[in-house]
Amino acid sequence: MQTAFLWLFLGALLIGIPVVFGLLLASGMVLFWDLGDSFEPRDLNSILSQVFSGMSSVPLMALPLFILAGEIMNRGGITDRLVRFSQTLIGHVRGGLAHVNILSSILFSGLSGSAVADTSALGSMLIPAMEKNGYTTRFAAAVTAASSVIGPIIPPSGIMIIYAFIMGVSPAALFAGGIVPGLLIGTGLMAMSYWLAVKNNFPIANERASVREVVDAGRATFWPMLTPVILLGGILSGFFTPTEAAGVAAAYALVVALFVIRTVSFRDLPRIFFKAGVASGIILLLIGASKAFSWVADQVGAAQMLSDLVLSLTENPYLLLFIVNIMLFVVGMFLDAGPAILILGPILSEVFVDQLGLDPVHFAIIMCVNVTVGLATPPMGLVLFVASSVSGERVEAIARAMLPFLAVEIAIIFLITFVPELVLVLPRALGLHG
Amino acid sequence: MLRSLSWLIIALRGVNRFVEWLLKPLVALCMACMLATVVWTVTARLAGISAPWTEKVMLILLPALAFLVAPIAYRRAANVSLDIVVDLLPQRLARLHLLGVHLLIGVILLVALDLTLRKVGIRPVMLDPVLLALGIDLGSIRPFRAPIRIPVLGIEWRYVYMIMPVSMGLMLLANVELLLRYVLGLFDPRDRLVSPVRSFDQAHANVGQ
Repeated sequence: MQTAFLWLFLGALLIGIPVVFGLLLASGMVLFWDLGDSFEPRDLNSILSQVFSGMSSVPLMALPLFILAGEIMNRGGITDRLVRFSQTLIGHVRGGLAHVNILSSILFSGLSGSAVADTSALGSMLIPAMEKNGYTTRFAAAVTAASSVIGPIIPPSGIMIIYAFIMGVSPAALFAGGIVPGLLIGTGLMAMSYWLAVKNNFPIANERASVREVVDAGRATFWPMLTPVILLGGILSGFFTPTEAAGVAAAYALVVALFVIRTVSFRDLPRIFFKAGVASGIILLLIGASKAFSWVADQVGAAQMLSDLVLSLTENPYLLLFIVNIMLFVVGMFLDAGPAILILGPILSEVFVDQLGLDPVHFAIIMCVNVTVGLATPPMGLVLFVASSVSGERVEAIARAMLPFLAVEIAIIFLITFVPELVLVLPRALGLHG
Repeated sequence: MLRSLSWLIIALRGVNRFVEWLLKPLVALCMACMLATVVWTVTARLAGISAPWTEKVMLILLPALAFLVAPIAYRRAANVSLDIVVDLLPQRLARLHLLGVHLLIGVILLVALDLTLRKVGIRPVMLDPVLLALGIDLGSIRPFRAPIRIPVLGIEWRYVYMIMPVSMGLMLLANVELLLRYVLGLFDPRDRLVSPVRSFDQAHANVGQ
């Protein structure tokens, strides 16, 4: 009966009940069954209180403000400036536009932190350009989708804020921990692109840019690119809390978009604030519901029971990590990154962090990278659908073209899993983690 | 019969669109207040000014935003869900399936509305018989009337909690509209009112059925 809540939730999810209602339904039903005769209707009130208090927390305020900062930058037309800058840096290499796509994703990740925003903003610009340059549509869409997963891995990252809040891990340490894996994925994708470009004789995008052209293109991105510097610099130096940094970054982005690069007008603001508000509200409600779910799981002792179940399979941490990577990857294929973390984070961290003694930052990054890569995998990868709608190519064709890139991402997931130093080197060097 | 059903859906659609029209600026305002509060927190800290109210305001704004967005998100099917099974079903069966799903969601919302009304000190006498008919007896829960105030701000928590029953009530309105659409779809699948409420991007221009 202790694990009934999980089966109930999975059942609800499978029949198409939205995750937030599935979490509440499973929580209420399990409380009713588990408490049996001692069940009082007012116990349901506790679930409600958990939902409300679950999202009423100051550190969580960083989430809507990060989303707002990303939305302002996204709407502020920064994409074409980033692409132009990337092109001057790397467009002359064989397969130039594919590299430009990946490098732009890396730069864009410091501003938006959203894989979907990355795919739609960069894809709508670079996929047609790549087609014109002789690339197949499916390859162009695949590169865009594969590189967009870097968005939530390199900080700022919404899913890391969620993980930090749910599991009580330092968000600054998580942000620092995501940098190396994000850059590794970017480098790996570029290497794969280069290999494919040579193999398929893909063109170069442009002649090598002169230093002056690089500087000019860089200057056009200077003010917007200060956003991640303020944000990360503020958090990593300890000058700002993540919530404060998110607020300052959003305010800075607003000032830059309104008055410096002047790509946003005051009339655009209600729409920008509304869009960011909706995205945030949906996640906040999900966080509230998952807090209630975790509370019920705790009340009925389910987390401990599941942890015992997993440990009964094997106590070899490497084998368990291998299994959990496969499991998270599969989960990521079906569920969005945020809900996957909200549901599985508390359960898996009980096994790997509390029982097996894995480093909490290391495990958090493994989880975040896994579920993020899942965003670009069929059948439910959101990024694939966005890439398909931007490019007009079928999802199956993009998914097939993505396989070499997916192989790189999986290899890097295993690399960071079994070489924890790759994740922990920066948080430790910056004094954010013991 | 189908004609009356269509009229009812059109009426509900009008109400729900009006609700969205009201909620949109509130959502945007909530975000703007969040930004202003955090910026003021930083400014006050750097200037050495005491601003203990900012933290309390943040604690109110976060759930307020979530509950303001909830009715729009539910109606626009923006909540995360798995559609694999629904997509595999033939259209008619899929409609029947979705009707069942939204009926279940309706029950969850009814229970939530009852509980949230009690949380703000109101005994939902109208809801009790409906829930009892469904086999759910929440009558033993006493409405919460203790005047607990938020420190610094001095507002009673009860007033903050009011966003919850309002949100649940609005979601129920959307739920009834969606249910009626699915019912209509079972009898007349070609009726344009059957087509799903559109996504957020389209909703922003308030287009769609």
